[in-house]
Amino acid sequence: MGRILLVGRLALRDLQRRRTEAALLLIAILAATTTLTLGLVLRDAASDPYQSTRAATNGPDAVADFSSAGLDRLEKLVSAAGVTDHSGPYPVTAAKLQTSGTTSDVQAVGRDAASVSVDQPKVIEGSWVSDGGVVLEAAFANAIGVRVGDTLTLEGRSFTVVGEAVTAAMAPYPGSSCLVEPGCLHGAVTDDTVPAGVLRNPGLVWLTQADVRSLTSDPASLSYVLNLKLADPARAQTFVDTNTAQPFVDPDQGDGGRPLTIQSWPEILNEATELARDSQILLLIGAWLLGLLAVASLSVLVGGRMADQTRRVGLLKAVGATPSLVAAVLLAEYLLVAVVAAAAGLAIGALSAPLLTESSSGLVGSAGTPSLTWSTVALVTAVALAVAVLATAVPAVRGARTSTVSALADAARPPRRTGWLIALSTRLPVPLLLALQVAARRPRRVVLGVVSIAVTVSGIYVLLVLNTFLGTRPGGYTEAQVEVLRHVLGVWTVILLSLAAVNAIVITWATVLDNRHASALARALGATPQEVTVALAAAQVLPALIGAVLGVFPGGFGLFAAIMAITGGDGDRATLPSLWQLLAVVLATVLAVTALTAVPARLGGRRPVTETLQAELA
Amino acid sequence: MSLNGRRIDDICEKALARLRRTAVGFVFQAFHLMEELTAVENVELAALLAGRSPRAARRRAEELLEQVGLTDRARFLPSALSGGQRQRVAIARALSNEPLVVLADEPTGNLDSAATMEVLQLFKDLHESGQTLVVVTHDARIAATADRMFSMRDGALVDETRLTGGSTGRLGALVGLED
Repeated sequence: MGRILLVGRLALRDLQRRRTEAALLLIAILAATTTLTLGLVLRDAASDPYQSTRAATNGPDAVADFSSAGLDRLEKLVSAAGVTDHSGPYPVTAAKLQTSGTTSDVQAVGRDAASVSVDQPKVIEGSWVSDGGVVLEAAFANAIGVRVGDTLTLEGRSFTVVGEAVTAAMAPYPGSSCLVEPGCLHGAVTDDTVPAGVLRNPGLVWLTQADVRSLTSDPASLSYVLNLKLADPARAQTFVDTNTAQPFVDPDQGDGGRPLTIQSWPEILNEATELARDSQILLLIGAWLLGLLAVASLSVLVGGRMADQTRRVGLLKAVGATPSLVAAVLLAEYLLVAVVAAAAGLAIGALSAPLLTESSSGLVGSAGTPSLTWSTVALVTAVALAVAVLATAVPAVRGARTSTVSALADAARPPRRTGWLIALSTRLPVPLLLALQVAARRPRRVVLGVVSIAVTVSGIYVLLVLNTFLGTRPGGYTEAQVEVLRHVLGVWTVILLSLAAVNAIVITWATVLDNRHASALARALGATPQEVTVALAAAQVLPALIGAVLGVFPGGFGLFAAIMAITGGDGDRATLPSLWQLLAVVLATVLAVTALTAVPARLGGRRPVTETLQAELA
Repeated sequence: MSLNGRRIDDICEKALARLRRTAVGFVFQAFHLMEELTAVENVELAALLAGRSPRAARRRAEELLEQVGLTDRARFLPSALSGGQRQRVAIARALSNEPLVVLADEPTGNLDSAATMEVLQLFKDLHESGQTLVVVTHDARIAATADRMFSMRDGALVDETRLTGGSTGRLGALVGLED
């Protein structure tokens, strides 16, 4: 017990002593865990809720819809091989829904008040259909802001909203299937592109059959929908392929009615989860990028502390600590930060995920509250702990191996010599001469700085492409969906830029600390504080420039190509950033890094020379 | 406080920096060489900071290293040099911009007897060639090698002694490092 107390106390005290470093470490791990959580939560949101909805509503394995002229073929389909149960056919009609301030096209399905064995929509609020009462599909109700008890009109006739329900027979709004003639248009559409009578992004409502029939004066204009249960749901697509190729489909029907269409449940699943899946892909790619940035941050932070830790190990050993106790102390410190970062990342990720899963709010279990699963919690925690263990491993092993005397005597890691950079520096003005010598002292840190900026700029490049792509309102996406994807990109941008900013500051500060002696000496030899300040800043800005250029090409191009390969997207449809945009990104990056490094560099350039040089003697 | 007739205790940082480049050379007890730069690169650094061309700076550095007897160590890193050699590099660096005065703060404090002798001999040679040296030391034997000795106590000058080259005899015998 005493040992545990000692380990905890030592870890806490060291964290308290180095609050800024601990905070930066926390931010770096937190950014990665938050994005990872968002990606994983969305992955779950993209598949589980549909399955839950299918189970809760006894969802159909295939849904057939056809015009009234095809009713005579119904019996044939119901008795087709493999069909074990069905519900319907139910009448469907197109209608114009009006509520306070909102007008929308809808497909109104006539249902019985009694429950059925196939596709009985699950009421999540209020009650099921009754004469004069309308039930709205939950995502549609959410989108138009209608609640149970409100009043609305359908084709001018007043109805009371009696319930909200979810179904697995159709993708949630705005991705609804089209059941009516003469058809529907989804995505962003303008008035002049919509043929007369065609529905625009229709929502789904349920009425009693009598109410649906009362909405139209021409019974022949009604369409019908039939829900089928199959003996083998896994072969639903085969059933669809077989039966749409067979006599049920008659495009040349003399009555001009719409042909029979059948949709399998996997097709509906795809449609229902398309947006969440796209969001998830974007977030997981964002998580990889942030993971890289987090590793860069941690490398700088941990590397900077390595020499310090070695001396600390020497002190602990000198007072009787065993190698295992020393390792435990080092590990405990990072584990504390990692556990806090994992918990905070899980909380932030889970709380912000609903903003990105609106598309699934028409499914059971996902109405704005995508939940954390144990696997997500375990994976995020494992990643955070792995980072902590990796960060601790080297000093712990070194501590265990090093003798007490050597550990106590351990000096700061000597600077490296990069001869060609030093030779090049002699031909440059004083600030650049000093900057290049700063870079030559820690080439690995320069590489980390370049990688960090390159990763950030690659992310920005992809964001620009996707943002332009979303601006063109790509097919299949409605305004609301575009808005959701913009949210995802927004989250990406904020976290990416935050972590890149943290990296820039951390790297500059580590450089300032590392160069205390060299800077003081340069000033003792005649360099001005301004020259040293400019040198410390230039040592970050020059790698940032290289990183920004590499981030555009090949970084941005490569990342975009990778995203297209993963998502199966058509890269040719995307508009790549123009030359001026790329130049602006590079310039903005350099200016941002200059601004971020200005303060630490100025502090470093103005450190008192005498105190710094005397400290070396202490 | 004045240097060459000019008050320097109230001038700005920029002017102080200019002064350090042109008028003052520093020699520290702990040498304070750049560990990643070779001996010749350390010496030319001061000249480069003063705006000399790379070629001129290198030529001057090589001359100075020759003067302090380290031509064969010019491409060595400080970690490969002895204490005395490091201090000689530091002295060469201090002389790089032909300063009016070289300020040496306990220049032999980290050196053994042999290295101390090397440095004092170098100072003597420099002095004889006309270079002004101000050496800070706690060691009365080192102080006795100077022309003028200022004694300080608690940060204030308390005494000035004009020495006429000390007693007769060899330098080493004077400072008690040789028999």
